[in-house]
Amino acid sequence: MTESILSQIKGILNKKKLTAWQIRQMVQTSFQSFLALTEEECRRTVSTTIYIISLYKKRVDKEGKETLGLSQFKIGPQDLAQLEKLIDNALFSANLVSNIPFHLPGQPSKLPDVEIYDQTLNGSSLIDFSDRIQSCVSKEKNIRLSAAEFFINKTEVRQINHCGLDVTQEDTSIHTEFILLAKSEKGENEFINRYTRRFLTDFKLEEEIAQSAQFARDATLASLPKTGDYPVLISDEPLDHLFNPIIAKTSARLKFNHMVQSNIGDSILDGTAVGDSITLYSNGLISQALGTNRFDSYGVPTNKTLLVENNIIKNYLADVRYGSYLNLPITGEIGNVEVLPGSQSFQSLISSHPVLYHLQAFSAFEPNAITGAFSAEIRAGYEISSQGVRPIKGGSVSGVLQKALLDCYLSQERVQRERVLVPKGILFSHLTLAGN
Amino acid sequence: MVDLKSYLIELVSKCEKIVPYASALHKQKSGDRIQVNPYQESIEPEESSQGLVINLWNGQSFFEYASNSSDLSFIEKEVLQYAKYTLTQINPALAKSEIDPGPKTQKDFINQTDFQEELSLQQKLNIAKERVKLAQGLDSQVVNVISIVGESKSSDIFVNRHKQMSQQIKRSDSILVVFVSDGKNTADIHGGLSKNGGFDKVQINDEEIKLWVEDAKKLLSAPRIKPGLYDVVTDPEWSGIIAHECFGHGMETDLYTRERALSQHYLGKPVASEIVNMFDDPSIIEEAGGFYFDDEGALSGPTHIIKNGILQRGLSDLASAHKLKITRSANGRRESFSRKAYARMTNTFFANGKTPKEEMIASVEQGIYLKHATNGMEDPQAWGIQVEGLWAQEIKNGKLTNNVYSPVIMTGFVPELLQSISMVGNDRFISGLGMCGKGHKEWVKNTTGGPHLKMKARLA
Repeated sequence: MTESILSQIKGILNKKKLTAWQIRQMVQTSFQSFLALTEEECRRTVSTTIYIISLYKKRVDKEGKETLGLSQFKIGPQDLAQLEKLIDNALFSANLVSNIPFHLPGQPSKLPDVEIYDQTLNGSSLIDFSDRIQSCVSKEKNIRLSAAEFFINKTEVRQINHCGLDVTQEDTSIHTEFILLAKSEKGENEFINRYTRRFLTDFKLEEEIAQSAQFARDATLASLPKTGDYPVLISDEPLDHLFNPIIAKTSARLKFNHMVQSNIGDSILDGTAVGDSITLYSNGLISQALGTNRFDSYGVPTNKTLLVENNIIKNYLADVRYGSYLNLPITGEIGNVEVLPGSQSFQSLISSHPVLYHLQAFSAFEPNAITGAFSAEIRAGYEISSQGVRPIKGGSVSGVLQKALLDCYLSQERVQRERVLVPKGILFSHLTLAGN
Repeated sequence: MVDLKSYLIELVSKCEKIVPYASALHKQKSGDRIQVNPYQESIEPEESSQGLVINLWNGQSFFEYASNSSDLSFIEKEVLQYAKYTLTQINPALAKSEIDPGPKTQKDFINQTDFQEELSLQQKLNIAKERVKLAQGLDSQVVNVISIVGESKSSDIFVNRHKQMSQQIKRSDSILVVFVSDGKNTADIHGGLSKNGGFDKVQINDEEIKLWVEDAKKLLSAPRIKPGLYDVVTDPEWSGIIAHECFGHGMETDLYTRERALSQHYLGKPVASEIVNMFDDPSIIEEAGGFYFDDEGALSGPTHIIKNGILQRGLSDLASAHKLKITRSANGRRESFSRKAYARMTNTFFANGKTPKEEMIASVEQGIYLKHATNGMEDPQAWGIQVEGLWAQEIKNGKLTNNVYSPVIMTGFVPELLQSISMVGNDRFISGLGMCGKGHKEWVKNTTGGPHLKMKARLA
């Protein structure tokens, strides 16, 4: 069925005398379950097929310069009856816009053989998750389940273009979001956990529930942090987006669009580092990681690329379009963010200062990719001092990444999270806390 | 060509021979999004998707089958098989209940004037380019300007045993993002409008663009504010994010059935100063969060959430309204046919009061004026606040000074913040630029807004 639809789309695109075209076909089955307290409120089965069609048409503008019109649109099987009209509309749009021409890649000689498909996953795993979460929660003291959601997705991707590219991949993902409530004399406190994994063996629901239950219990005892400049150890969820401003500094797309000013050979920092330095890769080959794929959205095979070494920008992250525009080697789109470890153990980082804040969850932690500035409300953390460990919640931490990294220390242990393989803990000697 | 509504009516009827309640929703979105900057241009369809979701109630739980297949006989076979399967999932130890299909309604909703063509794609592209040119020409520190002009058309059909309804809504967007750089630092500010209706509803004037460039330049050298508790005046956009993120999410009644909303214990009690009124209202159809009926067939209307400081009621989806035995409000919304419906906000705003903005600022001896809010995050269980923004301007002796701090974050405890509101502005602006997630997913279009507000807030 999907083969005949692809042929139909290809046939029409070939008739239109385009400079280039690309079709990305995605067939997805999703099994979803939603628990409210201990009851299943809703169960869903979703099947979708979509085609993302990109078309390119070169022309010569009034000044005699070659220019590229392009357009991309998404259709489903219900749109097939008007397919030719949709392609004509897209071609009309493409003819209105002017861009620098670039070329699509042909068939790669080899694609990486990466582990991204878990054959053991199926719809019945949902029932298992429901039983497991309720069993785990029942063992946790003063904890009950508020809600849980589980999504199991299986996706087949096929990508073809006018140059003969024809690549495929099958992948799986399991997503959960659950909320635990901890009782105390004052009332209840919650902790939300959400994560996605590709494989069942990495899902580790029991471990995640145990940690979340502890955060929820500690939240019942928590108070605001002190206001001031303190050493702060960041671990867990905030690591997912911490390095976004560094990635931005190496982005060929942002460079081409003048949104970042950095060049190869520049430091990623605003000054001279006194702590550990950052060496960072885009690595699309890490087994079972969420940022791992066989190819990117142009069909370029994924790989591992050194972007920053000892705080110095070594390469740009350049996809087909922006690599061509800036005459750079094509690295493909971002895979997983990999940061090399430091020399101190996580435990030694925790005990490195007389007073230190260890922050593990925020309501949202996403440093501004362009400015590097961040501010986030604290949801789970601890003040660690000679007087003991005090849970904290509320208040905020703020800083600017390229300044904060001037005096930072990376743990020698690393963690693989959704799309990052990074030191388990990163200690910033100076961040601003706002609380009491 | 099969008439889709007739097909859905028949399918729902067949399902209800198996299960006690069924409904069907077909959602379709299409449109164009023009995006231009000095270096590249594109015109692409916006949010294009269409598909069908069948909702089945077996007496105890909801089950849904969703697909974008064009093979309607295949869908029918699958759905009827799924309906039979749902009966195998009934727990004999639990009670069953009936779903109320609502009052009988047969109506096709559309505002025809919204759909009259005004400008061609080429004309809109030219407008987008002119905005880029204007902003670029204002200052040599402007390094990029992204100009977005969008139009989307949504078309929904909802059917259950009492309702056969369709709605068509057109939305227009004009957005500008200005990037400035001093060679070392880069800063950006965005602005614009998103409204239901034609392109005439989303005009950006040149003075606004000039102001955004001037403001962005000030951010390049703005230091961070000293953390502390301040007398604060918020602009309408910042007020709107407080309404939406700090308070609105906690009023979504699907959180009540999960026992994770503190507001559940405050119904009928004071939560804000008595000059505060707050609404959610999808029936304001000209705003981008407006619609005629929600994704579960409830007709839209206003919900008075806070009345003179007293908490009134929450915002419901079908499942939570049924479970809690409360009157439904039209807040059951889906990201698309492929996602579940949740209780979601629509157009959420503080009602305006009587005080002019100038009077508010004049009343502050030492404080901060907040604008250019960027985002916020909800905390319905503990009512914690997180609102982030780009602009905190000093107010001294009743006047704005040139001292600007950036970025800035507001934190605190929601009832304390709302109780501290001492003045409510006589103005009101509703911003439609935002999208809202449930947690970190399930994105739907919302608007937020209100008047200027004066309050006490913790800033950092």
